[in-house]
Amino acid sequence: MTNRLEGNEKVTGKAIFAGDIHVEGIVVGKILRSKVAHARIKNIITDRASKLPGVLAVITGKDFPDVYGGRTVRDEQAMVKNKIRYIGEGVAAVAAVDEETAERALELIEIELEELPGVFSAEGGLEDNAPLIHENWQSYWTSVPLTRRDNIDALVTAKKGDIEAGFAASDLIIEDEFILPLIHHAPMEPKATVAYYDSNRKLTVWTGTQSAFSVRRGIARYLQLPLSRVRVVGVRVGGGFGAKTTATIETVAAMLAIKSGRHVKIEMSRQDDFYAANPRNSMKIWVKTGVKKDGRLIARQARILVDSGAYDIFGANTTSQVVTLITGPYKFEHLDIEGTCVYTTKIPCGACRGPGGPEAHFAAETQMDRIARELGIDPFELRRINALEAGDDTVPGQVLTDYGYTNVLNQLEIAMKDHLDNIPLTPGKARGIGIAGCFWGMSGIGSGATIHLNEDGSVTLFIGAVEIGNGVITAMALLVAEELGIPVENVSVISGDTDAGPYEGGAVGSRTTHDLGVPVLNAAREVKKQVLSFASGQLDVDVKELELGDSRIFVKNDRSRMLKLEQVANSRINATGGGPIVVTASSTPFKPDYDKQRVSSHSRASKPFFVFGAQAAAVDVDLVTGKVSVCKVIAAHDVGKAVFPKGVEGQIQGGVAMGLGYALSEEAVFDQGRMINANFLDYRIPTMLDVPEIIPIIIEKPNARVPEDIRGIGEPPAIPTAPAVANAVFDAVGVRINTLPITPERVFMATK
Amino acid sequence: MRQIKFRVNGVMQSIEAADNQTLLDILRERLHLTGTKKGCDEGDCGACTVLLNKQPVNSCLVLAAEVDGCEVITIEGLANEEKNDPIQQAFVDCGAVQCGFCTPGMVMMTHALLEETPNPSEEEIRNFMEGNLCRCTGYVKIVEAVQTAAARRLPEGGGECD
Ligand code: FES
Ligand code: FES
Repeated sequence: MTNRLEGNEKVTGKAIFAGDIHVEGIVVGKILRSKVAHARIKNIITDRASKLPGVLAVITGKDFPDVYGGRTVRDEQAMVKNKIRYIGEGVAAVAAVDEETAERALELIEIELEELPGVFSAEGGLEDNAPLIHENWQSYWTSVPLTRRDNIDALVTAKKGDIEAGFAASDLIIEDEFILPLIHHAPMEPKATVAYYDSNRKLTVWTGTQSAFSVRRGIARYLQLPLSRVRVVGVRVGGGFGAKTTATIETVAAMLAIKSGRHVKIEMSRQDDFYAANPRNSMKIWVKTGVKKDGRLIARQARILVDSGAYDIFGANTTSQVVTLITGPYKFEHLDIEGTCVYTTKIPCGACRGPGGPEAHFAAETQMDRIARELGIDPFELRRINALEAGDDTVPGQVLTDYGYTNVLNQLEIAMKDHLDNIPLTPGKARGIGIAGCFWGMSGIGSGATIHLNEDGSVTLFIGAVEIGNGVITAMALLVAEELGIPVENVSVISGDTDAGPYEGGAVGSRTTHDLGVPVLNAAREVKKQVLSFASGQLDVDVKELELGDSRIFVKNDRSRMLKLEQVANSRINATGGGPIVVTASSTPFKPDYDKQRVSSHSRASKPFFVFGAQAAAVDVDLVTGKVSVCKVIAAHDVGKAVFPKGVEGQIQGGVAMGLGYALSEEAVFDQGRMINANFLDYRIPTMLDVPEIIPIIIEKPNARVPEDIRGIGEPPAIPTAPAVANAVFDAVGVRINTLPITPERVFMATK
Repeated sequence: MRQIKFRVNGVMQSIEAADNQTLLDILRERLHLTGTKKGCDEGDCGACTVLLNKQPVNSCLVLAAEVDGCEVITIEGLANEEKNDPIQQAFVDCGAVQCGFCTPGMVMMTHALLEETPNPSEEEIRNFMEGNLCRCTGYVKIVEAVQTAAARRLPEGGGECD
């Protein structure tokens, strides 16, 4: 199996991440972060800081143009001008010759504030006399029509059929409330960036991002520069998971670079990351379901309360996704769903690996387990009876063309027999096994790719995608290599630079392999066409008689007649007098219809594709302490076609590990808006001792068409893990823990 | 400030450092050996693992004064231009690298483990490396890489990951 192409530089320590960049004269940028949650800024005095020897620039919100940014709701500024809305929000920044001077300068900045009462929960934000967090909310631009009012960032609703009639026709009605914590992406690399403004007034930013083009767009907007004068280079990234999708510290570094004339590097500390990355929203989800005795799901009502934090970032989108996904991968005749996303004076939440997916499925799939037990139906059977298949529709009424959930369930069931039946029991511990499924809509963003067939037959592929560990470079090189019949090592990939590669939508929404795969393959196909057409003249045979392989062009039924790719590339240049073959291709995403009558204020009502997955977890619950340890996880995921199989396995295993953290240990704990466990000792991401063997089952479509059938795998593996674990805990000790994480205390109290 | 002398990857270094400067900052900022990563600066993640007199340490917790007269090996000291160390190669071959940020620390820790325990059990690997966090891989392939590297370093050789 092919290895990751940039693996070598990573194991030798030569890979350059943003924090590793060093150039002569580079200086340190530091951000002063607010210690209060909600306050009006009366005055910021920077004189003393500016005068400190070694300080090159001091900036505040006043130095930035008066514009707002944001993906769905433009409610945020590059740096606050008038009002602080969370602890950790940047209020000023300095550039200085070294770290110590920068720290000293921050201490010399004086801020006069008028503190305001804070809002520390979504419920609090909805109270009649709650302090208004965004006074001018009515003036904010939104990308889609959203129902917004006071502290409500978005009120998303969906209705289908007649919910009361649905409940009346049901034999069993089940209600549950779920409480889900705010969790962090916690990539191992805290975000870092370097900016420089050169004498041609071009701004270059080298940064650890998932999307160079999004960062470019953000910087250009916040600084009011033409896009052509901003170049963003995505260097190696130490993990993203949604934390590194937009311009944040990059805009600040850019302004410091403009003011100081130097290269400015900003590195976030781990604490900065916990205070100011844009983590997964905390939520409360209430679900009421009506079901027939034979297991058919009839009606579902749900109320979803989402804490957005200080800004929208991704709140309206996440809420919309929960509204869509709250059914789980099942069909219902009657639906009444309402999601309310509320501003609070806490860290603003963003997209975290499958935003809305793990949350919705924790509710849907643990309740499914309850229904199976109450009706005495096998959990696989109950899921198969209700499975969404092609032709069924989603909550917003998008008719599915993707299918395969039943197959995923079947494959998981078979794998469980092989892998879970013979794990030895541990004395003093109760064993339980649980399953959960999922569906997930991939995002769709158009992208481009350029291929150069060089004079010597080697290939250079230019893409705008950043390699964030997702394997995009390897996957795209493999597609080109296979299409052109050359070894993957002969494809050199130039990536992540907005000035070197065509537009790319970013490592978000499990979209890259499909969305970028399409233009990459189309470009490769066009290169192939031109090669074959030239070779057909040279060999004097019809194009249809030719094929590519082993870096050669063969006549199909007489393989002794052939040309080397190198010869073709070269002689074509000589013959035509032109340059090497250069092809650029681009794609537009597929935007299926949905039923506009059914939903309101829904920002993500249709998705290009849906993927399905299902996982099984075996756990041991300590009968004395209540501690849950996971013995094994099997994760079956449908990918259409696995382009880079080792990478797919890695995505599945890593996603499950993140799901285990959500299930068992991760929770940001707040006191009056301050995260009190902002370090890895107190905020526990899974260690090598917590994560067991994870068996990935990669499900491909028979006769998959590439690129059409390629599906993403970045997010889905993190989705069904927590409900599978919770269902296993119930199987072991007979208690339902509806609040994540499932800590020993919670299990202990529930079993007492 | 104090003058410290220590050997890094076989080369003698003599630098002036503030007492509170960490070995990690000296390596990264002064010697530009940026292969060693800073994931937390608090001793909680293992990304900054180097060998100090052959023992694995979190270099973010080691102060300048403590390294005077010592021998330090970083990730840059393992490979030569021609050839990766078998541990590095096993990490590549087994798909144990995704973003690669935890990788230098993981590789150094593996080095320390295999020097002491050439043929570790899975349990020994997991116990020894527990302090090295990885957010990308779920550790499965990292454990496989350590096992593969161990096998390849044994005289009887072998060690393939699929
Ligand atoms: S950086 Fe040293 S342990 Fe995390
Ligand atoms: S590979 Fe990304 S943190 Fe380990």
